[in-house]
Amino acid sequence: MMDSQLWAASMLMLPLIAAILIFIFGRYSERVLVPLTIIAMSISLWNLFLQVWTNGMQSYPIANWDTPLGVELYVDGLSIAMLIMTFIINVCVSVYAFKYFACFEEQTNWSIKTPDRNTKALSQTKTEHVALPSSYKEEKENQLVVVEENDYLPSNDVEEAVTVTTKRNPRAFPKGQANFLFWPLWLLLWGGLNALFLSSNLFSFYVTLEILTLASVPMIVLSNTVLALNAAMRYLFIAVFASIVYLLAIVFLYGVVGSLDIQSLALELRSGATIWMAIFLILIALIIKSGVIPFWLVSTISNAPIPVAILLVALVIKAAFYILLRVWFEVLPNEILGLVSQLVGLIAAVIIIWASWQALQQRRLIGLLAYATVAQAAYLLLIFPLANGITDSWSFDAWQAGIYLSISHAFVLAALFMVAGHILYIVNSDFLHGMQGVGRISPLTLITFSIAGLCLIALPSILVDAIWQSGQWWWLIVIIIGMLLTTAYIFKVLILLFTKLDDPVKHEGGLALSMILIPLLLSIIALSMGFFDGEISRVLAMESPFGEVNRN
Amino acid sequence: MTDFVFLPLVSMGIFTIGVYVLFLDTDLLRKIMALNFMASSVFLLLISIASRSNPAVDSIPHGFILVAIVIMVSLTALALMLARRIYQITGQLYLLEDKNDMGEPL
Repeated sequence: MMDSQLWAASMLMLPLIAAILIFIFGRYSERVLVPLTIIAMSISLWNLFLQVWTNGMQSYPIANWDTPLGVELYVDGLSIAMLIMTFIINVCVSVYAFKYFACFEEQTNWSIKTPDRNTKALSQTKTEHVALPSSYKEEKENQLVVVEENDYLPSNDVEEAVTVTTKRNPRAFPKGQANFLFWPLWLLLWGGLNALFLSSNLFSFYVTLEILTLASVPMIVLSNTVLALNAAMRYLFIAVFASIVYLLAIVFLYGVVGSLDIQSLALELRSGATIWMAIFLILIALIIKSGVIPFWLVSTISNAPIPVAILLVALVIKAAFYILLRVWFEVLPNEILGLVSQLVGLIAAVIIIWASWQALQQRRLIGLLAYATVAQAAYLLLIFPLANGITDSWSFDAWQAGIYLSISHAFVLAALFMVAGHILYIVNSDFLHGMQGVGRISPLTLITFSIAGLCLIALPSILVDAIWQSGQWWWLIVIIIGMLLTTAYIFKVLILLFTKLDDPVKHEGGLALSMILIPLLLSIIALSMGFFDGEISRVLAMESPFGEVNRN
Repeated sequence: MTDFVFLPLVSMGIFTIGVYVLFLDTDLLRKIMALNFMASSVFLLLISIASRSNPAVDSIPHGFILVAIVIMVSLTALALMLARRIYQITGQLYLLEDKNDMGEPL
């Protein structure tokens, strides 16, 4: 018992300690400390997994304080599945990020998106307008923004184009500093995620959500552009607003029940006016946090460095979804879920179709993938109307399908964003038409993008079984339209990659093989999850809110 | 018991003011202050809940408030840093548009 307590605590403490150590020892210490942390984390995760696999659910009050005042670490099947997903994604992202930062540091000096806007891509297209306030045009001394007239444009394009280029601000980050600053923040994010998945208390969820915000906002700024700064500020406002709304909701619950522990809430909560209010506030907060409604995700992702975008897409929005799962199925009284869930499903359906349509319209690869992420995040919400509470015979299937979907969706989207980063590295442009013929330079890129893209198209079909059993056929229409649109925008990219050009794209430097092997590995993991169906199902069934009755 | 009508009403009033300013004001500093207003109003609600159980005061809400205050302080510091950097770079305290005319992210 003592042992497993140690493993659970080390899941939480190791990344935080490593983050502080890297920050203290400064640059280059990450090359030693990050691999060490990963090894230590893999050991403690493996032991924790063995504990849960053999003994079932585990819970440890920290320092033997009991639940009303103390904090409890709680591990069940769902938590361990999420912890393993976090571990795999984080290991892949760390290897990728080492290579990514090295490549882009020497190549474009921290302004990844600038060269394409000025030169190649822009001159090929029509005019690109960037709306800027007039005060932008005055160039100031020692500042990040330089506004310049673009003289690469063909003269037959009538209007002038204003482009934002970013120069390195000498006061901002010394060379290589941004590269180094990524690592402590990344470890803080990892620690926050582990803490979130080990919590059993609605207030701990609030605290860990805020840790995620505190870690991810500075990481977005690492791309060192004005637009990234704006996106980070916007994200901070939206995230903190959502957190405070969530806090208000759990204060309501506390006022009714007098405890915020999941188990005691589940026992004592009955429906009433305050509970309705709390449910709506929690829904608003977590739907915002999971990136579905106002589209903070799009501007944030398209301005963040690629490894940070992967972390946001694959892990941060999943954390909000995880809390929603916990609250929905384990806390809220069952008799009112059916009514609210159809509303959630309606929101999800509108967002799926609208965001997929937007993705089809995009002219930049990262913008396309960002809208695709919004649509995919909305698919996850569909499981709430499908499960329709926890009493129906198909509820467990729908719940399981939702978790399955969210895990494989994390792998697939991470793989897609990694490939996108590799394509940006090859063609130095994130405009789609600038990517013609990439498949001829690097066939592996093309293969990986195809596998991951096909996975992305096929993923929502996981939900079909639950739809079939619950008889709610109208969601099938949404899923089919969504899948068709997904097919359209994935093939839009694939066709461009396959195009044969007479004058092939030139590119300098090596192909950065590790940047393409990792996404390949991730999409293979996502594919092979289908083979471990039984094991995953057994892990998830441990201490699930559905009890023994509804299994199978 | 009258306290439990008065304090929640005041706190929800402050919360509404916070939401109003956060969404409708463009100035970054006011937005940051609005977030703090909202958080403080939730703390006020928690205090009123804690004071309900006279004479023995419920101690758990105090723990919650202390933790939440620390979080809000660090988030405010981060937000102020970002606002300051935006001011240094663009010379103004507003957020820029994040999409172009075609709805594409910039």
